[in-house]
Amino acid sequence: MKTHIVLFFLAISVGINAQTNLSEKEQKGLDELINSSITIDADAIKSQAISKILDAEFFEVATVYKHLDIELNSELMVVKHKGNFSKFYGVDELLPFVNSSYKMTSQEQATDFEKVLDKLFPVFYAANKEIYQKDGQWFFIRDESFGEKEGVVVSVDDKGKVIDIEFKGGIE
Amino acid sequence: MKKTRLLLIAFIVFVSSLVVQSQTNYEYYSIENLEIYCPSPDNRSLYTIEIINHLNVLLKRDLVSGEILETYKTKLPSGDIGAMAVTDDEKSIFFVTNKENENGRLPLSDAIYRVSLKNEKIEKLYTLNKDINFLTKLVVIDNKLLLNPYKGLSYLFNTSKLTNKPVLEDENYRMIFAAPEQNGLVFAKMADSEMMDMYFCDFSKKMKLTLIGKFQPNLRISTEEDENKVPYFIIENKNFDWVSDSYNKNRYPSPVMMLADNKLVMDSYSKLNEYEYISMLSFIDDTYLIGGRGSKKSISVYNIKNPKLTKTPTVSAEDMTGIEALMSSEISFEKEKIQSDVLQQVFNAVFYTIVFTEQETAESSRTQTFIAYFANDVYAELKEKEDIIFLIKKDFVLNEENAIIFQDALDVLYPLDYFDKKAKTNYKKDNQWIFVRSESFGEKKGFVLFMNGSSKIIGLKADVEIK
Repeated sequence: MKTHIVLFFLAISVGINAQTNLSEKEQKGLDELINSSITIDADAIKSQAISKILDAEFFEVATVYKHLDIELNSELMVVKHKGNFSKFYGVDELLPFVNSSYKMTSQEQATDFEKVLDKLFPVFYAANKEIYQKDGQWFFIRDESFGEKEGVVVSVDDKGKVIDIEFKGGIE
Repeated sequence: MKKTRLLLIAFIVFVSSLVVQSQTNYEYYSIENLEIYCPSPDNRSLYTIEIINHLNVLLKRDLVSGEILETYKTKLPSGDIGAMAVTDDEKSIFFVTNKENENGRLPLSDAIYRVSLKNEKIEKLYTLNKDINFLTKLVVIDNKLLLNPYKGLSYLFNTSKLTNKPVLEDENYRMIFAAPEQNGLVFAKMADSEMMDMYFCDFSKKMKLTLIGKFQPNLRISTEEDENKVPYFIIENKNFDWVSDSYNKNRYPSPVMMLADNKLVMDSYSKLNEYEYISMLSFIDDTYLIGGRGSKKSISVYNIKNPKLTKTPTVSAEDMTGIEALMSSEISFEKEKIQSDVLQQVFNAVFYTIVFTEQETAESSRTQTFIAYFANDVYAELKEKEDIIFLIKKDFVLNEENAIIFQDALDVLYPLDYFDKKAKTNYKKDNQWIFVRSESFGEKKGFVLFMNGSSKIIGLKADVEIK
C-alpha cells in the first residue's frame, strides 16, 4: 500500500511555522514540495507460522524520497504489537512477541519456528539451514561461511517455554 | 549445418537484463509452504503438494487465479518430496519422496508413489534401495516414469511391471532432457573433447541410440570476453530437427542461470517482483512464469504478456495510518528562507534551506540540509550546483565588481569552512571566470563560468578541478 503522507507533514510544518519567517504562500509551496517527494510503501509479512507463534504483525516499510536529494535507502521492518507500531531491528528483539502458550519441545515445533525465521529473515541458500537441539538450546543454523555456522539460538526452560532468542555467529 | 545455441547465448544478456531499470511485474499470486508442483497437461492448472498443519496435502489450483479447485483427501507421506508429475489423462499423480543421506547433506530418493485422482487412493509403488540422489525431474513417458536425479544415471520405472532400470547402464551418458512426445531422451556422452556426441535414446525401439549431433556443455563466464563459453548443440541429423523445439518445451523447471539464452525469459525475469530470491523458473504457454524460491518453499506466478504493474495492497488502511504515524513521527523538516542581498542581485529566485532530520534509532539521528528555491512561480529543489545557471538574472554580467558579488552569493548558498576560506579567490582567464572554492593537497576545485563577448554567463561548471 502506498500513500502520500501529506497530512502528517503538514502537521509538522505547522509546528515549525512559528519559528520561521515564511509567508503563508511560502509555507504552503515548500510543504507541497516536501510532501510530493515522499511516499511510504508498506507490505504485510504474513504466514501461518507467524500467526501461530507470535503475538505480533510485521510489515516491510520503505520510505521513498523521490525528488529531495536525501541520501537514504530507508527500508525497515515495523512490528505491530498490542495495537502499537514500532521499528523492528532483528531477531534479537523477537522474544517479547512470542506467544506465552508456545512451547518448543519437538522438532515439529522447532520447524514452525524456523518458518517464522524464513519469513522474517529469509536465507539465500536453503541447503545451509539446519535445526538441532543441544543443552536446552535450539540451534537454527541460517548460513555457513568458511566452516563457521551462524544462526539463531533459542533457549527454552524445562517446559519448552522460550526464554531467550539470540543471533549468534561462530557456532561450532 | 544447423547450429542451435543452447542454454546461454551470452552471460551479457543475463547481466544486462539485470541492470535495466524497468517497471516491476508483480505476481498474480504466491503459494507458500509449497513442497512441489507440476502444471496440468493443458497448462490451465497446477497440481501442488503443500504443507498444511505439518501435513503434505495434494491440491489442484487454477493457474491464473491460484484459486484452489480441488483438495484431495489422500493421506500423503510426510517429509520432503523430490519431484512430481501428472499423467496426460490426469488420472494419476506420481511423486518421489526424499530420505536423508547418511553420507552427505544432499538427500536421496526414497520411494515412488501414485495417487489416483479419481478415487483419491495412494499406493506406494516402489522403494528405491540404491543410492539415487534426489530427483530434479520426474516425467511421465507412456506407461513409464523417467527419474532424473541430481547427477548420476537416469532411471526408467515401469508403472505396470513396477520395475526400475537405468535407461542406459553407462554412466558416461548424461541426460540433457526428456522428450516424452518422441518417447525418448536426449543424452550427451561425456568425453574429454570440447564437443560431445549427442544421442537420442528411443524407448519404442528398445533404447536404440542414434547419434544426432554435437553438444558443447561448458559454461564459462570470464572478464576476458574470448574466454566465455556458452553451451549449445548442433543437430547434424535432419530427422531430428524437432530437438530444439522439444528442448524449449521440456526444459522447465530450470535453474535461472540455465535460461540465459532465452532473451524473453531473462528480460522478464529481471522485472519480476523480488526476482533476487527466485532460483528456478518454469515458463508456461509463452505467458506465465512460475518463479520458485527454494529457500522459502514458495512459488509466485507472473504473467509476462500482461504484467501486473501494481501491487495488491496487503496492509489495511488502519494499519497504514499507524505505520505512517510511526514513520512521520521520526522525520522532520525545518524550513528557513535564506535572507541575503547578494542573492537578490545575482539570482531571479528566492532560496530556502530545508533541514531534514530522521531519528534512526533511540540513540542516533541523521540530518541533511538541502536548498530549495522559488522561481517562475514554482517551488523546487536545487539539486545540482550547476543548476544555479538557470536562476541567474538575464542582465547579470561578470566583471570585477560583479565577480565579488557572485562569490558572496556562492558563500551564502554553499558556505565554506575555515580551510576552504583560505583558498577562496576569483579571477578571469580568457573567456572564463574562475571561482576557487577549495584546496586539498595542492588540488584546487571550484566553479568555472563561461562568458560570451558581452560578459554574459553562457555556461557554468561546479566542483571542477582548477589548474
